[in-house]
Amino acid sequence: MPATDQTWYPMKLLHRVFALASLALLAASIWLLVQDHRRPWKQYQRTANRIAGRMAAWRELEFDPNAGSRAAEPRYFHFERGFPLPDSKLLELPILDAFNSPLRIENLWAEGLTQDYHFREVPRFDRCTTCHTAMQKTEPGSADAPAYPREHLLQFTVTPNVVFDIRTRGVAPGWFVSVPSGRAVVADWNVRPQAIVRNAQRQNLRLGLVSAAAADSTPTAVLGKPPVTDASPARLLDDRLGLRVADEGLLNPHDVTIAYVRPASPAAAATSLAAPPAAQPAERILLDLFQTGDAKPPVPSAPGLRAGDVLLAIDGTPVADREQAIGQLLASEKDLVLTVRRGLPHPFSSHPRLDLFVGELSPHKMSEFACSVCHEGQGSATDFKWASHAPNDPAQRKQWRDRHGWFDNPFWDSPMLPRRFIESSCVKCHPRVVDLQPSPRYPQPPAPKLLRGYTLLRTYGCYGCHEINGQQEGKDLPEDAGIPGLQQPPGPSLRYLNSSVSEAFWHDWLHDPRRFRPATRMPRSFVLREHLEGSSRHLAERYEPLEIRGIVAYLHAHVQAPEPALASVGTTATADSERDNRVEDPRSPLAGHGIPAATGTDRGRVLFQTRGCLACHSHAAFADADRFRTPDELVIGPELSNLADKLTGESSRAWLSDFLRRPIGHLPTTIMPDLLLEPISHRDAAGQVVSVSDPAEDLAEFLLQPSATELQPQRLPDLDEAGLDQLTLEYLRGAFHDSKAAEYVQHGIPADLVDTLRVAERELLVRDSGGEPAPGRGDRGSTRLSVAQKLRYVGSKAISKYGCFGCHDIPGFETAKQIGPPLSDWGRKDPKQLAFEHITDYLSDHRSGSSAAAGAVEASPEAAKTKAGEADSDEADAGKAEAYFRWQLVTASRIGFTYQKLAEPRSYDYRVVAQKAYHDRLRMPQFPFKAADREAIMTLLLGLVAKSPAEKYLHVPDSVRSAIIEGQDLLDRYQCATCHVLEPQKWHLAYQPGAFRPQPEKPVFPWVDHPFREDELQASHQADARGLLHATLAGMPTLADNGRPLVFDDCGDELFEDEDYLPQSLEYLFQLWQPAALEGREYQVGRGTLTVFGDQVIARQRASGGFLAQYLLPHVTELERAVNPNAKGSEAWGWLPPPLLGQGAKVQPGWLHDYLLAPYAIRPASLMRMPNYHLPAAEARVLVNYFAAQDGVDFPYQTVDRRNRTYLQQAQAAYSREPSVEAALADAPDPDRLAAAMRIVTDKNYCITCHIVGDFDPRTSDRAKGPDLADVYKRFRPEYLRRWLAEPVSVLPYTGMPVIVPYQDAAPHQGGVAQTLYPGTSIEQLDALVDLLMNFDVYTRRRAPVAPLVEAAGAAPAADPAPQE
Amino acid sequence: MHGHLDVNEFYQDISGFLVGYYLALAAMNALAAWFVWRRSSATVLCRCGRLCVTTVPLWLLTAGMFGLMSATAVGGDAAAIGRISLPQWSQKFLNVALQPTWYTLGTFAALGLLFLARRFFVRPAVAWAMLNLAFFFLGLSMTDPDFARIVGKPDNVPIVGMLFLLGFFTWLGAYRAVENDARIARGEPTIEQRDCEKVLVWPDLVYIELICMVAVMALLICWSLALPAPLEQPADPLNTPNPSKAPWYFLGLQEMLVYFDPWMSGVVLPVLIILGLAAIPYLDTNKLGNGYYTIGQRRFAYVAYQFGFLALWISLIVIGTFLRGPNWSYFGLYETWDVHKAANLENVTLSEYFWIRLLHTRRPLAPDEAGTMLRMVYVLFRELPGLLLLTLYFLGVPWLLVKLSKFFRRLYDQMGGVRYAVMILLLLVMVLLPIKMLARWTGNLSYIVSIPELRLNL
Repeated sequence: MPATDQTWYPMKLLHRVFALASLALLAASIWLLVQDHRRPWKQYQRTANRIAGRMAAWRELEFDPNAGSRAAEPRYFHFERGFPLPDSKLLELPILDAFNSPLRIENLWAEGLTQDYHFREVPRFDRCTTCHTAMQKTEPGSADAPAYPREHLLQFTVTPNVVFDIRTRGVAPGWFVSVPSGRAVVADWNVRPQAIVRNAQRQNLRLGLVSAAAADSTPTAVLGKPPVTDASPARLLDDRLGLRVADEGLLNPHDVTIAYVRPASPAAAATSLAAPPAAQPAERILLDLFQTGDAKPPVPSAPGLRAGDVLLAIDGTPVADREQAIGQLLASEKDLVLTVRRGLPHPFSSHPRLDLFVGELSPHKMSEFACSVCHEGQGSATDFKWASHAPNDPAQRKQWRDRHGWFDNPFWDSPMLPRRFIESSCVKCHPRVVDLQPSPRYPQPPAPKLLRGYTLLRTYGCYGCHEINGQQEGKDLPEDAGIPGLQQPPGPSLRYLNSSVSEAFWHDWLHDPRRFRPATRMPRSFVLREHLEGSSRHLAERYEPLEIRGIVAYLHAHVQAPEPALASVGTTATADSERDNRVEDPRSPLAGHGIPAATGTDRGRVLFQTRGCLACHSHAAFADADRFRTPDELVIGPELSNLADKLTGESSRAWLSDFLRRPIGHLPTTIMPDLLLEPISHRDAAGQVVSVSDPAEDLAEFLLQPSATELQPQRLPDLDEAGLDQLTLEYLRGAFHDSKAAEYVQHGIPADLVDTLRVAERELLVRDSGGEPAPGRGDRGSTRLSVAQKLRYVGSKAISKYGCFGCHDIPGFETAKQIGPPLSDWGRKDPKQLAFEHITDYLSDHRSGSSAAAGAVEASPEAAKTKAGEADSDEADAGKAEAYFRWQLVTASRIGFTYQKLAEPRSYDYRVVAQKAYHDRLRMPQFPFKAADREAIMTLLLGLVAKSPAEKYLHVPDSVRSAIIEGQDLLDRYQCATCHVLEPQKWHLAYQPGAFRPQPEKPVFPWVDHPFREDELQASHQADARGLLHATLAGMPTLADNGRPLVFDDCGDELFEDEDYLPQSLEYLFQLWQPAALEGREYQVGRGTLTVFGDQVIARQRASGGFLAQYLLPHVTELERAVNPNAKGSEAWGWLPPPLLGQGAKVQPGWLHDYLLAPYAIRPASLMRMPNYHLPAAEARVLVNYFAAQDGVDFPYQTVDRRNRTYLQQAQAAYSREPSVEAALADAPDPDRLAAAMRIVTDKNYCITCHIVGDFDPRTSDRAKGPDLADVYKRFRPEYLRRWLAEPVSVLPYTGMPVIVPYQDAAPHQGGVAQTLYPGTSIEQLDALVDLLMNFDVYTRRRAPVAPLVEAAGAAPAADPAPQE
Repeated sequence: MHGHLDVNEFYQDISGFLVGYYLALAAMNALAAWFVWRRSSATVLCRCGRLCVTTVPLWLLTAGMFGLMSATAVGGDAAAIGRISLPQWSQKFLNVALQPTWYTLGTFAALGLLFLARRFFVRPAVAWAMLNLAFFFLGLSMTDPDFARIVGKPDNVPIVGMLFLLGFFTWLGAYRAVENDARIARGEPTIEQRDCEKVLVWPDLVYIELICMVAVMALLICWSLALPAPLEQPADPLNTPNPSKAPWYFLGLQEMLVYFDPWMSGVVLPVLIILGLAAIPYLDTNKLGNGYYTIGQRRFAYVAYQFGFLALWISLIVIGTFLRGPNWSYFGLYETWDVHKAANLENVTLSEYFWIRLLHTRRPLAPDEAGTMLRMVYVLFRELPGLLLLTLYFLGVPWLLVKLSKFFRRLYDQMGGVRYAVMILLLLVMVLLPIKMLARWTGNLSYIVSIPELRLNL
């Protein structure tokens, strides 16, 4: 074609189109860049950078208050040198931020941890820190305090600097109290600072502190009128409160934010108003001293206002802007109440518990573990919605949806765990769970919810029906809870049925256990009919009574007598001497207490209370004991109120008393220990035995007293024989062809088939008159099945259907398989495999009420949102939780499924049941779980992922820690901590310097005092911003003579029972059980009590264990004082189960092992006896190792040097060489060193005053009687004994044991006992005493030579008889 | 269900889209009215004396209606959204009407109607009205969460767009063909002959391509920003997404897998399609209709092609995209994609139909001791009904067509034996597809000939 200017399309139009298209492309490109610049993670990083910059600048002010905040805002260019230089901030500009900008996506590679992509294990990498940049940030100078805590509200009271008038010069530093006349009274700080404070508070006077600086200058201003000054408001604010307000807030520029707080200023000393003080009745306060306490230690952050706090309200008035706030702060003369917001919201806040997670010193370093291995979710996402964040409740869901466009991401299998289930992840690497208990290194429980779930799972015996493994390859989660039958099942054995329980009771019990025992753990298997309609409901109503009858018939038909051999394991007969000691004791707690004359019921009541029954059982008569239990404590034994309603048989009392004497003889598998009950003699004042009572009889009488309720068992409908036939036929159809089944249901199964039958079907074998299977008699029409046979068959089928054998030992079901599906990979279970069926219909048909409530919560998240920093009310929590789980159910997640399954296990059968055979219906029983329990169990279940992220990350504790963990597990199982205190109370104090006087000087042996390190003492002397020192005391409240804690009001009086007091205003006496460092001084155990003021206590941590001992303190004191009015309640700890602190360092492992297997009475003073749990030897070993590991001493073996023959010979030689001994030898016929020591023991002033020694009994009150010294050599470790003898109160501060060998550094022989008893220094005397006690057997052996006996015997028949002639 | 959304939340989410959507439609119609009015090319709807009602007020009215609907959608209030939604009964009706049999038969009928009444449908005003109706229908349906979930899925949005493009180009072709047919009837040159669309490479072609490049680039950028790709989980052969769908252009093939053996629908039929398309020039003996759009001069070719393309290929893609849900189950447009939807299907082979259902006897089975040959004989005997039927279909039908239809007789004469045979084979294979589909839906027929012994299923 020839070239031409003519074109087909009009060029002008094309140019325009081209221009438009180019503009469109330009606009699109700009949009692209804007979108890139505005990516949410970049916004977060910019904000985080700004926050970090400002915080750094504000912190700089602490070092240089005049620095201003010049570095607060990074700029694009520097102008300082006269010409602009580009700053790195420049790279944050659009487009530029794509080029090596400080804003970048962060990849965290967790090389060792892989992620299962099914086809391949791929290395895990997370980008979470792209947005969560401050995760790892700690406060300057702290290893684990978060630099940016989660946003929370706080209220502070600030006392502005008062201007005072002190007319005299040279005032000494101290407190001043201003009085209305305008004069200040300066009080001597050293006199009684707390009294000054209290008086000032009571009279509403202003209180201040004259600092050293102020004292030197000449204060001239007049009270109430600030000095006239032309300083700026900011300057005034600094003077008055010691704070500065930033020009701009951290997140929101309009936030009035504190930029600087001057140390030791009013702002720094602001006190937090956690809860307004309220007066409480004295009774309550005294009870609280043992009951309440927060398990968590206080937040370690310093009190007072801090840089970064946002002022929200001043004296209740919301803060509008900076100027108004400053004006308000300056205007007030009185104390100011400030509401501040501390911390930052996600994603700018730091990770909580940096000691445990994320921190570089923590066991879960971020560099090693990254994020998603614990949190789940899509770690590679850099966008909120694609990261699969999981909201914790519907309100949060709505908030996220509105703010971040959150949606339920279907593209990721494992969304993040919502906060309520965050502990689930721990199971992956801690499959044993019990290793997550608090430890000395991490006293704050790392995963309390998970542990609770584990305890529940074990107590309710979920493993009876479900296989629950935390790991594949045989690493069972509950290592001890794998196979029912082998281990202690949660329910009692049904092999040895008690004949005192009527059949009617059994029917009633199976029908609904909660009718008789509302608190029972036994789940309901019957009468769960809410989901049934029409004919399916009628079928259940007809068949269930038959199944109940059947189960009872089956159990009665297979009842066995317990084998006596099983009962004798580990039981030892009490030594005769011991029996004598107890029985002949004229001052037994029950003797002379009016009890012999009282009824057996009264004696039984006292026994029930004081013999430890309450440790494992509860009883309506002792409801006050339950208040001492921890809130979620599981009482292991059944409640024993109204037992008379259950044991109605004629011989029930005889049975019960016999059972109490030897539980194992009646139930060989019971966990109930042998209480070692022995007859008690009661004597009159003259010491004559007036009566002997049998405690077992008395207890039985008490327990079987007529109940208040007189509950009548609910009767089942009359036996429906036609229904029984139908049910039998239905079950038979599962095993035989229909025609055969129809025949067998009439005439029984021919006995020839016996070898082909399963256990249940054998019930239907044709039997002869003797009840034996009759071969060849299965002819049609010749026999008929009895009703009893059919009932037994139905019962057997019902037992296997409902899985009763999961919790109970039932004859015939020893090898039965678990009936439930395995739960080992429940946390990864594909929701598509879960049968939700018609659950949403069920919910809408049955739960309109609760769903409306849930909907209301969802609809008004603002209304449901409670103030941060305040505890959410339980109701709002419950509503949120209910709404959350309902939403989860509607969205068909495994969380929703599990929750509903635990709540209403059979509701998934709704409408489906019509198509199911009766025996195919859902069968999981309904457990009496509370909502919180369900969440706890789910926390565990959701963590079962069948596979750990990497083998090497599995937590394998070292041998010591492992021994502790195993021991803790066992202590939990046997509930040892109900009687024994394992850890004393811990009181966390914040106090003014000088609040505690030094301990009185007392000379003690050099090895008695606990040595403190210099840094420990230094740390106790460091004041916080308020000028307060911090300390933690471990011990118990000091007991008064009545066994109750000693507390005084501000007048120094003990509390009156019917008055109310402010707990903060009281004085508490505290007995240290462990040494403490206060104000740089050592405070040793056993040197008097400490007076602690209520307002010094910032947190109180309750004792670990020993609820029963704490409950019984006043009760046993009362009992004892009835007999002996001079008895001291302060020694009551000694009459109760001993605290087990330092047990490992105290006793020899071998002895403890033997003792646990066969306990015997050691301390006559103790009212209770250690019962015999019939522990297997392996478990005893575990406990011995636990105690030794706890105290860091050798185990399992230990050498006792002092029993070494060479050592003894050397000591004897040294003793003999002593000049004093040589001198004394002339008088003393016995040169034996141990014999000399024995003189101390047998001296009437010393040991034998209280102690039993071999055959000697001091014949004093049981409470004052000491253990047999002849047994000490087996029991104690020598180091412990040496320390104990040197200063008993330094070991057990409550003990009545005096110092035998006094120590005086300067005195001749360094003090000690009389030289006539034992020549030598006090140290030598003490060592000799220790050697004697540790070699008592050796000593006594010397005194009982055998050779003379042999010689004497040799005089009779000759050793070599002469042949008879 | 994963991704479950509360209906009120859904309304709030969708309201933004609806407001913009209806506003755009209103603007589009207002623009159309202005354009038609300016060009004075408005179709006259009716005359009342001197008053002449054209389409201009109609489009203005439509624009007003869409504007109103846009205002209604603001805020996402449930009651208001209810007013701009399809009524429940119509949704239910459509769910039933889109059941496969009705859907397929309906497609055929609609195509037939469009073809027969093509002179009516190609009118711009009618086409515009149909476009408006389609958008209207789409808008009303978008308030249904299930419909919106399918249509609004980022993967499916372009498919919806392409359906409109397809409709437009089909209309454009038909419009020009109808115009040309009229011109030919009047003895005038066709549009293409009249316009003589010869274009210079420079500047016309290159310049336009540049413009297209720039415009498409802008479009793609906007598209990728507006509908960004989702971050999905890593591909996992053990846990494939449900439903697992092929790319849109292969959805027709995937749908065919339901009806045929994999080797048939995956190998034989695609090969036949390609070969058949390649063979068209060699089979085509009609000298007319080259270089311009026409239907009248190439009636058979047009019908055959549009049937194969629209009724078989495109409609299968539509089924695969919009009507196939989890487990490849069939779902109505307004039905929730329930993973647990159970379809009680019991597919039966023709031999089972014949021997068991019709003759009430067992199917012929070779005795145990029979040798391979004897077994084959038994197998062939068993499958005899299917084999006979297929033979009759592929041999009898062409013969009958030639015998009974004058048109095919003429075709046979023009094409000759070989070409006719190839053409009729391709045609019959094509027609076999809907026959088999209908047989499956109505009679649960799995295979006509099923010889699993040879892995041969037809």
